[in-house]
Amino acid sequence: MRLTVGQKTFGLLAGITALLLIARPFAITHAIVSTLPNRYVKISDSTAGTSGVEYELGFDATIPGTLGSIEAEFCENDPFPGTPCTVPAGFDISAATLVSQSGTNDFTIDALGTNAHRMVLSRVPSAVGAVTFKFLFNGVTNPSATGTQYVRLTTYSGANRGGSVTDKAGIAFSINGDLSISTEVPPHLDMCVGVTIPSIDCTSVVGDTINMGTLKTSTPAVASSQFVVGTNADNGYTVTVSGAPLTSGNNVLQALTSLTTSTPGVNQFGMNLRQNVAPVVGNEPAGVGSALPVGNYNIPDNFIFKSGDVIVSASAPDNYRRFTASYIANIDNKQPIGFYATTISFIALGSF
Amino acid sequence: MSKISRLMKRISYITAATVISLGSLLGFVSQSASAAAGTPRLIMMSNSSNAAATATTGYQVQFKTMSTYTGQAIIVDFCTSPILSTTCTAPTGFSAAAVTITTNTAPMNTQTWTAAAINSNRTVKLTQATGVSFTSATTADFTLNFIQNPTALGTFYARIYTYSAVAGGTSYVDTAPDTGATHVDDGGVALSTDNTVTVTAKVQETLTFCVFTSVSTTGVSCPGTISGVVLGDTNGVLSSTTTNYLSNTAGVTPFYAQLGLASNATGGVIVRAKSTGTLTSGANTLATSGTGSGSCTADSAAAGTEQFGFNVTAGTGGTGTQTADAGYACGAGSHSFDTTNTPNLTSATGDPVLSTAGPSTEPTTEALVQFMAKASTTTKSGVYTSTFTFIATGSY
Repeated sequence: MRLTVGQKTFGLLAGITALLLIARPFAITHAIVSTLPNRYVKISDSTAGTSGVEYELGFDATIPGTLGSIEAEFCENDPFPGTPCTVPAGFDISAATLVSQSGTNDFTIDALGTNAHRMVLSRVPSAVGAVTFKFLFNGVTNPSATGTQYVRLTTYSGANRGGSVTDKAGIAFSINGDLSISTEVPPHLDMCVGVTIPSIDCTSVVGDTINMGTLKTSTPAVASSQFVVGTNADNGYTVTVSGAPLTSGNNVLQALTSLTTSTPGVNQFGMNLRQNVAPVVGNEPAGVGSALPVGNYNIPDNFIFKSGDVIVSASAPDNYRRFTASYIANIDNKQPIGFYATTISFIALGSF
Repeated sequence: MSKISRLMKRISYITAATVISLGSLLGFVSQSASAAAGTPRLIMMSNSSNAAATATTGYQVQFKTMSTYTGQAIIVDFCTSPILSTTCTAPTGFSAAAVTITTNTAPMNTQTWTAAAINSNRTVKLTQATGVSFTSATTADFTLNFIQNPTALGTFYARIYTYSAVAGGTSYVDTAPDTGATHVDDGGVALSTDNTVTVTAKVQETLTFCVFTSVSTTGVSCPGTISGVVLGDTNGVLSSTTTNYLSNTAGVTPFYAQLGLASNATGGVIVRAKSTGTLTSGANTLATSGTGSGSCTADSAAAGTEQFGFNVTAGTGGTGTQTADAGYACGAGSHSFDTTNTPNLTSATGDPVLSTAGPSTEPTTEALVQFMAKASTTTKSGVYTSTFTFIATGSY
């Protein structure tokens, strides 16, 4: 088919149209920046201004060619190697020592290149395989300000930052404040006294009056009371008993001033802190604590009462301990008639 | 006036008319052409770079045929001038030496075409002895691969001819395209190479990490503040009968220590806790939860039990996921303290308590650290203290 003018023209016009449709001002490509993968800096203390801190620097070595030196520059503005660096105030790595290295064993600190905010490691240049480098430094002083800080890593083909730059990348780490926690444990001496104390923590105390009933010459009158003690006193505590024997006006039941067994028909008033068989009265000390009755008050079936006697002792802090005071009263046939009463006090003394 | 000059003159008149009035252009085209007028005729380049030695460009060619015939040859001739039947000068640096063809749609892909470069690699010749069926509604769609773009910047052109006989392509001559056989359809396309612009952008490594205290678990973020931290009742006194939590001086309990964390570290972040040890007053220390085993231990209300420990709850609501370390993700009513395992709270770099697996933003509810302590009846009196440092390490 012969070309007509219209077709030829269309070809030319179509070309122009296509130009208008297709022409583009420019093409865009993306630059790829090499990195040191799995890079990190791990520090032993993130507290601002702290000295003697360990810094561990690690990265995967995927560096082409030879590796002769590594530079770690610490900046507070950004992690981009080769750009102006704002030195972190207070930071100092100049006196750090290279404690250990892995993935390699031949790097040393380049003293000339290292300063307060730059650490340079150098060696005789050699090729690098696929390996993970770790370098542990100690004796580093943290920046004095909190916030994010950066490390700029640069690797060089030559020693002492010579040769060419083979790789570079950045790392971010954080300096922050401590969290200090405090609390106070006050000195305490807990004690409660009652007829009965069911739970050994003074949360339940029952009664404060004991009725020993009618005194007889043939059988002893018995009664008991309880007290609980616990303390955090460094040197423990003592409990002292205070009071008078059963008294009615001028008539007194004879207090036992030495250890004596219960003897019906003999004028007696005494106590101990044990479980007794003759007569049946009292209980053994109970509770988590370890305090014990003292001396004469610690012997079952033997009784005594001397006001001012220490009856319980603990030499160290002690958990709650419940003691049962067992009382006996015997009379002879000459005991005058009357209503006999007494008030017994137990006094705990902590030694802090 | 020669036939060619008359033709050129006529073309120039029409071109001038086109420049002056685009409206008339469309009307003219619709009168002289059929379906091809309404269909884009184009060559789409995969790369417009003029860089040398990059014969990797693909040219996707599309055009609509204008009549019904069996197409057996197609010529795509690349020239510095679009004028058909004139001498075609190859654009500088252009080469189709390595050309291959990929047929994209029917009818082109109903047969296997042979692609070859002729005329010193300036011209692409496509031949198919059986041929494919073209109609007035057919769109030829194929891609010429491994083209070397011109190295000169600017516009260049492609002249396209179709033939119903193989000989049309085999004997093609630029100034006499009908030498081997009369061509059926023709058309031209303009292309352009251009400069490349390298775009760079810096995305810096980021790590935001802070430790702060707050009565609220939401709505607070870095940097935050640490203020009035006590452990115990409103007077900072530890109880031997009830469990105490971190409080502030106003007595609001519980009072949380919170960890704000965000980073673009591709390998995530590990947060480690380091401690001076359990609560200590001179030579006196408070027993730790789980006896320092690093296992979550239920809080005790027993008067004879003293405890000190903490737990960690991961933050939620941000991008990325935080995970509390199993040794400290105890939940309510249980706490932990590790001075036994390796690493532990007294190790050189502390004990992991929280981590992310990849990039993450600061969550709307921050990670919480809840401290708990209880004295026993025998805990010696004194002011007890402990200091914690939280260290975040990102892996980039």
